[in-house]
Amino acid sequence: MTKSPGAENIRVYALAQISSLLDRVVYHVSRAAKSPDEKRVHEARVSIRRFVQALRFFRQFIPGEPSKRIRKRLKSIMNLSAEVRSRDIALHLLEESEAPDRTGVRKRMELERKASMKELAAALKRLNRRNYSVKWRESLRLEA
Amino acid sequence: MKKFKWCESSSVAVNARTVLPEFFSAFYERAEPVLKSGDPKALHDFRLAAKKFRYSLEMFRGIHGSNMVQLLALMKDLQDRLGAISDCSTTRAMLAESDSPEFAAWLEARSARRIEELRRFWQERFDKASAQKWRNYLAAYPRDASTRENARGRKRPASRGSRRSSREVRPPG
Repeated sequence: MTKSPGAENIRVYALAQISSLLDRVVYHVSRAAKSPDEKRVHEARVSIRRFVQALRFFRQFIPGEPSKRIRKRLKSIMNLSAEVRSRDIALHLLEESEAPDRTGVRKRMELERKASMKELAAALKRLNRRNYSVKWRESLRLEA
Repeated sequence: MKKFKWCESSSVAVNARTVLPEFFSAFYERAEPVLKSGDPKALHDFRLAAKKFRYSLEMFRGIHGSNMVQLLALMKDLQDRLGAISDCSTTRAMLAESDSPEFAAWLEARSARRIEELRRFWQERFDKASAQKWRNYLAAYPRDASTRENARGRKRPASRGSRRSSREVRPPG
C-alpha cells in the first residue's frame, strides 16, 4: 500500500527536500556560470537562498560542520552576486526615474556592474569545476 | 533564525502541524514594530524573515492543499512589497554625495510611498483575525492517517468530522 505523502518520516522527507534543492542549485549555478546574465544570476541566487534555508531549517538531520562550510562557501557567491544584482536594480530604477541628471550615475553603475560580473563569473566557474554536488551530498549524508 | 525541534519518530504531517504555526507566530510578531518604525534596516531584516518563512512553507507545499498555495501567494505579495522598499534603500546607499540629487529625491519619495502601501496591505491582509486563522490552518493541516484515526476514535463519521474541521479552520480570503 502506498503511504500518503504526509505520513512519510520527517527525516526521510527533510533529506529529500535538501537533496532536491541542491539539484536546483547545481542546475542554476551551472547556467549562470555559462552565461551570467541578469535573469540567470537572479535564479542562481534564489536557488542558493532556498537551499541554505533548507540546511538551516532541517539542521537537526544533517551534520553541522559540513553544513556550515557549505553555507560559508555559498555566502561568498551570494555576496559577489549581490554586487551585480544591486546594480541591475539601480539601473532599472534610474531609467524609471527619468532623472535628467542620471547619465553620470548610469555610467558609473555600468562600469561597477561589469567589474563585479567578472568576479562573479570567475567564482561560479571555480565552483562548477570542483564537482561540488557529489562532495556536498556525501558530507551532508544525503544518500545512503 | 529560531531553531525548531523536530520529532524524529513522527510523520511529516505531525511535525508540520507543530513547527509551522510556531514559525508563523515568530514571523508575525516581528511585523508590528518594524512597520511602525519604517526603519530601512528593520524592514530589510523583516524582508529576510519573510523570505525564510516562505521558503520553509514551500518545502511542505507537496503535502498541503490549495490553501497553502493561497498562503504562499500572500507571502510572495508581501515579499515583493518589502523588496520594492529594499531596492530603493539599497540604491540610495550606493549613490555618492555628488550623484544625481534628483534621482536621490525620487528614490526617497518612492520608498515613503511604498512603505505606506505596505502598512495598508498588512492591515488588510494580515490583521489579527486573519493571522489567527492562518495559524489555525497550519496547526490543523495537512491531515494524515493518524488525524483521521483520531476523528474516528471519537465515534464520529470520518467524512462529517473532516467537513466540520474544514469549516473551523478555513483560512481567510
